[in-house]
Amino acid sequence: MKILRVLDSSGDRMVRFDDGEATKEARAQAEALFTRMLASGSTAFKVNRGNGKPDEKVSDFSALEDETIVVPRIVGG
Amino acid sequence: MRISWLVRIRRALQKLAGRQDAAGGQAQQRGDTPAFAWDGLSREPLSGPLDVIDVSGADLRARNLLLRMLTPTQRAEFERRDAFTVEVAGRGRFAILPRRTLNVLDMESGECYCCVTATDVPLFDLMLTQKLLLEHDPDKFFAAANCPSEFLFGPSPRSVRRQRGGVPTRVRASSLSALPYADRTL
Repeated sequence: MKILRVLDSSGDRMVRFDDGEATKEARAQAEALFTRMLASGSTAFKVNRGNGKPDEKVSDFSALEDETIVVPRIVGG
Repeated sequence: MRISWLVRIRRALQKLAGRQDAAGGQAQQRGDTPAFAWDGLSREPLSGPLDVIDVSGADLRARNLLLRMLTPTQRAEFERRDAFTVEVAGRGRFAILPRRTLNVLDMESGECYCCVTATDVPLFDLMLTQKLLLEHDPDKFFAAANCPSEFLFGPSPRSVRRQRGGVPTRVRASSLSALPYADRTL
């Protein structure tokens, strides 16, 4: 099961999905959300990758691994 | 040199909180001994404004997520000081402090960077955002972040040294509430 976390005012919004038929709808929802967030300037990172692999920026939905965090667009303060 | 101005910052924070003696006594009573060395900073635990953070609801979720994403070293720093450092490829080490503005500090130059999320998120999510960007997409961070020259955390930037022969002596009115200058405005 893969997890997509989108940081927001509630802390984070989480969508669980995998490649199976049972979570087809959740997968479509996650992909739509991922695409929309990145289009609006957000950035996604693969995290908790296991085997000592470092976190990594990701922009392709098909490349997502177990856990992904999408951080909002940033602006200068 | 770097150690001295960081120590001054810490002392100024303690003065502001009015807790210098109390905090020292409490730390002694607890027998606290920091388990890590944070380059350039005192090994004594910080007291004062930085350890007063309201944690509830969304903040708690964000804090738990941040803790899970930190490396063991960063987690030790965060649990001790509510702040942690990140290593940025080609740029050195930066501290991410628990506040919303000017909270990314270049440990080498003393420059403060201000970069926030476009949408409202809990403080700890902001810190997580900054950590991930600094570690894995620093160009994006520095392209967006502001680095106002009046918020310098020390005397090391070359331009200040050149103009004033060392420590900045003039404080702008807009800087009066800034922690870096707290010791000069008291």
